[in-house]
Amino acid sequence: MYRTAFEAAVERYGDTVFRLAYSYLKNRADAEDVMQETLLRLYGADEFESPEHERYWVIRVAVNECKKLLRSPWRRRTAPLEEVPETAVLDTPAQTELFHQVMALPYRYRAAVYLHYYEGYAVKEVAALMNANPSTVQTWLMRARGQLRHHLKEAESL
Amino acid sequence: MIDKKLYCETFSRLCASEKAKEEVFQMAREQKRPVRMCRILRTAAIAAALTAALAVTANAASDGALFQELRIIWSSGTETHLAGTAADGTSVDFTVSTTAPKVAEENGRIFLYILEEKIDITDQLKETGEYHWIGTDGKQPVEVDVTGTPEAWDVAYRIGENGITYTWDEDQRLTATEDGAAADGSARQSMAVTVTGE
Repeated sequence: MYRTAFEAAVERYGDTVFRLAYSYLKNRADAEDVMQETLLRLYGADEFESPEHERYWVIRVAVNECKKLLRSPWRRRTAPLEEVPETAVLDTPAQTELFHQVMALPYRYRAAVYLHYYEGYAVKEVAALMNANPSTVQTWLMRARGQLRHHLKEAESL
Repeated sequence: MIDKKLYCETFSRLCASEKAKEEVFQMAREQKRPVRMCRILRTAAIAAALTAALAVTANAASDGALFQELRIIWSSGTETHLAGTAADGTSVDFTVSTTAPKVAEENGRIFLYILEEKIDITDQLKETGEYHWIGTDGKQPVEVDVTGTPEAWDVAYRIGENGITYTWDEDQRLTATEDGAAADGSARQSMAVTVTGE
């Protein structure tokens, strides 16, 4: 990949991969490691058939890197949520509450929610990206919605 | 329901630091990649670690004690003799009769050798960065995940239905990770053993 194309790719995918990795790992340092490793792999990759193919490839590699890190005994431990303000500047109490509740979900739910709601992938596509069955992803999303509804209602009533 | 608009607004605030992005450019300019074990050693390590994984599973199934350390005394290809120290300090030695799975390069192609099969996984690694194999050794289910590229790959291996995945790293340390997540969402790692020889 040429340098200018690579620089454009870092701008195009850097934050996407970081958000996905943060959704998996809940840790800025680990998420940035995944972002860097994924983009370096892209730098050495062959040409892609289409921009969609490239995007799909990047996300697949990022998912695999996250899984690899989750299995590693040396991964940095999850950062406490008190560190969140350093990670993201959130404007409103509603955003802060949602962020905390999403981050309290199991990591597979968080990643599926991110790919479905933020990146706009259909359930089948999320399943392919995460190497899971579509019905399993559907269940993760359903449970995530249920848990968020429950906890956000609880928070509202306080 | 998830308020999609609020979710997108919230997570759009999550951005990688400019420093991290600049480091990527720098690493790409220098072609600086993590130091990888040479391919031949990696192949040997896979064979050693995966053989050890079988042994660990056998041990866990027999008395519940997990090894702190395993050492391969000799290997004939289909049989491997191991000595280990269990969690309670007891020394154990035994022979595992199996053909250890391995990933190796031949003439520019990458092959997964698992039980009696030899599978060309080059294209799938190149395409998706992952190859997943599911089968059985005749007694219990066996799964292998190869991730990475045709130039550098990692292997995770699962045998039986005990919900434990074995992975090895470049220092030939073998780690077992339990399925499911701890309360904070992180993976549960039940142990790590070191394969100190072949």
